[in-house]
Amino acid sequence: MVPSNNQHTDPKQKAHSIIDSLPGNSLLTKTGYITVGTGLVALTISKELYVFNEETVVLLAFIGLIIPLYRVLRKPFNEWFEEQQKRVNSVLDQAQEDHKTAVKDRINNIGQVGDIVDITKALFEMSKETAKLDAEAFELKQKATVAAEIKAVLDSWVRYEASLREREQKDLANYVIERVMTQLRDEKTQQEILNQSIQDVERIVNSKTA
Amino acid sequence: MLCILNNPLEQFEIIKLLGIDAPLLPLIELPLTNLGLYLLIVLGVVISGLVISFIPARIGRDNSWLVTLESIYGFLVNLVDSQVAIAGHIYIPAIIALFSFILLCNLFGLIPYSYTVTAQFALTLGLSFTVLLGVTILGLQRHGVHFFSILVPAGTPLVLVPLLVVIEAISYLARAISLGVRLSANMISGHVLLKIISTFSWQFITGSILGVILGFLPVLFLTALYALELGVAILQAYVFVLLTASYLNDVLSLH
Amino acid sequence: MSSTKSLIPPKLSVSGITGGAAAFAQLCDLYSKLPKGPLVESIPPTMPRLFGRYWYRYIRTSSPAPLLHIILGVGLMSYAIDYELHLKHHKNRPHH
Repeated sequence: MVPSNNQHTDPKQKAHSIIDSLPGNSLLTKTGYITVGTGLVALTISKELYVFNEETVVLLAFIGLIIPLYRVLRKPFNEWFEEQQKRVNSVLDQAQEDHKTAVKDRINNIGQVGDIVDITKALFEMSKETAKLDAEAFELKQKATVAAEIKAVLDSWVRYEASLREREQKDLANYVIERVMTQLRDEKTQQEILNQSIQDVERIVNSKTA
Repeated sequence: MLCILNNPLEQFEIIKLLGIDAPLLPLIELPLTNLGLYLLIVLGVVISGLVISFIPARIGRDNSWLVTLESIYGFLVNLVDSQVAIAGHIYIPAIIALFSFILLCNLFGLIPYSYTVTAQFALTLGLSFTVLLGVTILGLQRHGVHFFSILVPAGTPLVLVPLLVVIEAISYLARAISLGVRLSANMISGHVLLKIISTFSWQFITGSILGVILGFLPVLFLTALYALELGVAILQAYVFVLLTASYLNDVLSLH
Repeated sequence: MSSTKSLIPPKLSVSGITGGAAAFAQLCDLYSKLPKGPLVESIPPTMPRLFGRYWYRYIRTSSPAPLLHIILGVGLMSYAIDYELHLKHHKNRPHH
């Protein structure tokens, strides 16, 4: 345990590191392990439970290979593992983020239609009103159509009456004119008119001479 | 001092640990050998490893074993993608099972005092014959009689066809042997080498006072050899599935 | 003359925006199953006690120590088998 000159590690530190590498929690259990371990080794060797032969050399060589290999490869393996772990974790984190945003989007979408009951009610109210107005408009339209039809019928009636009267007057006038003409063409009438005219003339002349 | 060397092949002996005699038929016995025991250990480690891997470590953090398994899976998927041209993805589970089985058998064989399952020709040849049989059945199922065109390379002169068919058939069947022998031979050679070197080192260390002082030298050498064997263990598992995938490609997309 | 149909107001509904009641129920179902409250770290109650403690110490901290444990376990078992099979016959004999 004496450090060589070019190695300036504190012997206390080294002792601690050796003690730390032993299993167990307290110093007492650790010393217990050491005692039991050395005792067992001594027992196995003294009772020749462990037989020294050429395989011991193989065992030494094996330990000499495995322990340094374990120490050397431990760090690169851990680094490699951390790298893999980071890769996997980044994928998982990414997936979690994506899922979170997806759920948030959904919540937002649902939030937009939070007052969906009121909106639907208002829509129904509006469509009811529209239906009512539609009905009223239809009624008025029907009324207007009926009135227009009646007016057209009456108008045509009035026009017919007017034309009928006109024709009757025309006929009457024609009849009167015809009668007068025929009377004029009559000799007796002509004589009467002539006589009348002569009487009138005589009377005028008499009055003048008188 | 006269020293008798142990037979370095002794470590591959199959020893009966437990045996259940089935008295109905005199020759039937249900033994548990060291081979079977180590196969059961591999099975247990594979299954418990998978179960433990799929338990999440904590919230927001993966199990590091699962991440490791995933990267091995990705590596094997790339292997199958690069080797098998047509619809190879459904064979990925088989490739993964083969790879993990062979890799774990190889690695457990490296632990001192343990037993190398994949050094047994019976096991590896069984594996490779199974692979070749399965691949052949797949080819026959997919292509019918046309499957046998695998024995005639494209653009062969008619005169040479009978000769080439024989040669190609032999080379096709030899794959079954070479695949298994490659794996077992690598394992056996590595372990025999370790055994021999360790035996000599032991004699050197225990032989004289000089050996005790300089004993760390052969141990260091053995450590380097061990690192090499570790590489071989991983590489052979990889080579086995790589060749399996390429055989699969051969029968799926004839030529 | 407008027909009576034109008098009925357009149909407004929340489900038209959120994608139906079934989707909304699914969303609710998902969120009801998610854990609530602050993050709690504890041994899952489904685990056996001993394994739960092992898990809490070595698996949760993503420590590579289980590899060493497997090696140690297999090594000890292998040694026990080797000892039973032939190592005990080499006792008291320093060399073969």
